[in-house]
Amino acid sequence: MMDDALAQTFAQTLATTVRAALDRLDEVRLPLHILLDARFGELNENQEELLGAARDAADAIDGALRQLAEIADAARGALPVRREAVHVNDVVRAVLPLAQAAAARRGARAAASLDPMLPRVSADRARLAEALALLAEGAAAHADAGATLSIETGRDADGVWLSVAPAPRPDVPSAAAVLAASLVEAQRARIEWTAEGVRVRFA
Amino acid sequence: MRRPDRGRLKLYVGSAAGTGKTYRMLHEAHDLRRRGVDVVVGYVETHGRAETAAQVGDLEVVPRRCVAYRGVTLEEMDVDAVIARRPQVALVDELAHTNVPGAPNGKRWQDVLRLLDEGIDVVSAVNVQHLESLNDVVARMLGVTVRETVPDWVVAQADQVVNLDISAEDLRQRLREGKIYHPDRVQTALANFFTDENLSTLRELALREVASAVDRSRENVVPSVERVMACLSSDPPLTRVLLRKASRIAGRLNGDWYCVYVQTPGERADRIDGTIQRRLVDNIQLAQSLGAEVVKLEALDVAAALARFAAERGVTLAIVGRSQRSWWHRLRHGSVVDRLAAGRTGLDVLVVSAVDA
Repeated sequence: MMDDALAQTFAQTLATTVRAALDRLDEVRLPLHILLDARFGELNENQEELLGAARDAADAIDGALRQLAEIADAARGALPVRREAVHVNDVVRAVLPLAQAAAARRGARAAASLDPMLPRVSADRARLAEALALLAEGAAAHADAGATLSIETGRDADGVWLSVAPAPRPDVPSAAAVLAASLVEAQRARIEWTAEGVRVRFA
Repeated sequence: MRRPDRGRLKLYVGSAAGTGKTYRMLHEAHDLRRRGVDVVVGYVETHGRAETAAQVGDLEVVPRRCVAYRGVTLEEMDVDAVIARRPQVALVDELAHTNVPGAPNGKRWQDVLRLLDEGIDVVSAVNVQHLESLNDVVARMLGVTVRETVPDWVVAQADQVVNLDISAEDLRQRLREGKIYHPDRVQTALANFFTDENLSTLRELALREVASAVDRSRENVVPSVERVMACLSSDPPLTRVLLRKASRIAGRLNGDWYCVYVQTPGERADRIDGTIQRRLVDNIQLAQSLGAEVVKLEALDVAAALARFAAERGVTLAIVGRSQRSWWHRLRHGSVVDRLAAGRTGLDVLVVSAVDA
């Protein structure tokens, strides 16, 4: 295990390197965008196909690098968090269509069971939605055809919780799962992984 | 501080470029402004069409975000500027558009979701071939690969979908007249994408998609901000007033509403008076005609059954009629209204009078 100082240095180096790579990647994405926008004349079908595929690949790399940058920022405590009083159910409702679409792609379905009497929690609404979307997409990726991806909210003696099931397989490392955990923990909530699923507990 | 309610999305869907989506959006914006609505143009693409450019007129246009790269200037909607301006309604054209790299969101539909999340209503437009689920269909039937797509779940979030239907021949005529593309692109377009067959296919897809998008959005309804429950008893004189009020309140809240009837053992069909039974059936039919989902529960404890139903369905407002029972009866047996109001936090109880105001 790394000591704290080394971990900080590592996270700082990772963040800086990834940001530099993202800047260079924009030097690829911008020309592709301009060309696909037909700024210099109409493209034929083959040109459009090739450039489109290149843009898709560049966008995918951009997405992966951004996830890494956020993980690095969270690790060094530099992830901006804007806390406010949030209805967790509202966040679930906003993300549910995305979860349903992700589940449908696997032949599964997504359903939410929301406790209507939850008090608001102190959280960053956008970051929480991002974390939930990542968790739901992760759960969908591990859902069997015909299964149900379940998102639930509730409250017990420890406070308000939000759960997503099924759980990602622990033997498959996933940047998305790490990022989801980082986003949750950055707002002083706690994430618990179990065999059935993942549970977020709010302070 | 309470977050503003989520904005509403109105979506114009067309079979192809040139069906008049942007023109209609702008026309609607002028209408809204005349009615005192604060409306801005977040992003409108005129494609150099004179009619469309003229239709912008004196509408307020939020300045675009400009990105310069090696002598090329790219323009995008400045989503942060629109949010800072806080209009009631923003027009955002071309929902499927891919934003310039470096923009806050990769896709314009993500910008639109952000505006909605900030409580700003959005009027937007998309051509049917850009819907993700139709990508394969369009490729197979038209031989065209569409790279810029909008997920169907985004379209399903629209509160209103308007299909701008135009015949294939009319559209081709508009194209010939130079109303859609620059004259030097017309012949290529007529020979390739804008063929009669393609346009007819797209037109049919647009009509089908709008119908199914509306169905999907209904199926996917999750508990809205407010769900209303009208509590129906077998024979109070003001039930019809109660139902009409519940219908109006649910309409104003844009929420679902239930008409819940709890049948006690003493109200079973074999024990209840025939006149009361008929009146009950009439009231249930009225509730259905007013758009309620009618639910019949069987229980001894009416208040407990209603409270349990409210908790299960996420009901936040119960509407009940004023009790016709005597003071003595309420004292001895308790009032359903009082028990509902006292029983569960998060459930508001509205007691309505017999006056149908």
